[in-house]
Amino acid sequence: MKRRKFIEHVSWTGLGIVWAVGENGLLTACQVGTSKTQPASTTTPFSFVQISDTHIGFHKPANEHVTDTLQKTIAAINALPVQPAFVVHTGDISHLSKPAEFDQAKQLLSQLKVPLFTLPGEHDTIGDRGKAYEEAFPRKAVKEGLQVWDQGGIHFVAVTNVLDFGATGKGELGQAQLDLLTQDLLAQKSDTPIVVFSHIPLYDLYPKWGWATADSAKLLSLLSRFASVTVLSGHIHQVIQHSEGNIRFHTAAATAYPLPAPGKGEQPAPVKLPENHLLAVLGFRTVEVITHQDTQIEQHSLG
Amino acid sequence: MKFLTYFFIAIASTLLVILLSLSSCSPTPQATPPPPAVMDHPATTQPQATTSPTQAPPQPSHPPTTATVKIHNFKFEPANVTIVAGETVQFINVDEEPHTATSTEGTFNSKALDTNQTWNYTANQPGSFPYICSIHPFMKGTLTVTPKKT
Ligand SMILES: [Cu+2]
Repeated sequence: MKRRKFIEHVSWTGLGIVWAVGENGLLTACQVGTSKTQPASTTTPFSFVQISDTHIGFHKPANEHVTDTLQKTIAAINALPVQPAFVVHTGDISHLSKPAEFDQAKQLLSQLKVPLFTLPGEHDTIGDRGKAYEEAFPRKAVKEGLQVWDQGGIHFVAVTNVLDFGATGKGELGQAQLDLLTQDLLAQKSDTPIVVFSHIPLYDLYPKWGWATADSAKLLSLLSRFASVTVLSGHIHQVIQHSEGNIRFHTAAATAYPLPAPGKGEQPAPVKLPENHLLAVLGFRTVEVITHQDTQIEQHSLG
Repeated sequence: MKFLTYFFIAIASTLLVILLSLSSCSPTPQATPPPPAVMDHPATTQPQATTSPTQAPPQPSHPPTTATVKIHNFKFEPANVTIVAGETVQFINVDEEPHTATSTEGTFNSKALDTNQTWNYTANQPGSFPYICSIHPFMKGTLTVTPKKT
């Protein structure tokens, strides 16, 4: 297993101070670990895993064995030396939103040792606006496509932006979801680390292919006051990083097949690679939120 | 300089690990994550459901199609098609990638059309209906339905 390390925005001095506090307040540190009410000052790195774009049901030459590559991914996650707090799947679990595809994906993903969070991609909502998907992967307390939760001192926000589309096919959050996001984010403290999950990227990555979200400006302005914001997306089947002010955007590799780099080629159609090259561009990543400012992302490829 | 701070962190981490392992309480943070917090505002409306049929109306025999839209190379060909109310348009996907024909106003929505799959849509309501592929929403077309001549 090859690993590439992306260390983002790491302030080592700050990290040292937090560790020192942890040593002084040993009892506090212990309590933090077991208390749900005071997770904000945790000194233990909190880690989770992001997987994306498994496309169960895809059988074309770009990857005739998407179940195998998902199995490999799950085995690698289960073998991590430190188990993540959870795995999040940022969409396109299935290829054609078929019940049999959801069933198979569900069966495979149930082998994960840690809890799974999901959000839909446009391949999961074909023909029924995600009804079959929600039945197969029910999400707790979802309102207008939005799911939020607090864990490890971090505020997590999972949005849906694959049901309606703007000009050039950009994703859309919709006013109802934006209203809920406004309420939710205004209630958070500005030093709380925020992690946002979306399927389609939330900035103008490549609007010509719809790799953008038409009404994300409002959300990004809500996020601008926070000290640490990490936005993790899927959809484009490749790792691209970008930052705007305090917000760090990362798109994920798929476990199924690669798509061309933005604008490379006429259409965003699956790219056929030799087997060993294919495994190198598929995989998952671990995300560690170490202190209130630092997010460390480690890419794990399958070959 | 960076090396020194890394070194400091290594020492500090080691110390912390030792101290934690000596203490009686078990620091196993976030072994089982709490369920997602319930949002403190009630749902007002559910995401709007498509009220249109998601497949062609059930008919014992296929109605004759009067127009065909070929989905080829991520394009609807032709992008603009006009039929008379009561007539049927057939969509055929000849791409390797799946596509859909999804009305942006919810009037019609095909299922996923895989390679060489077809979908027939009989239009009863006159009007101009823009549509996209919901998998590749930069793909656009318009179906125009003119009133039946009397
Ligand atoms: Cu398409």
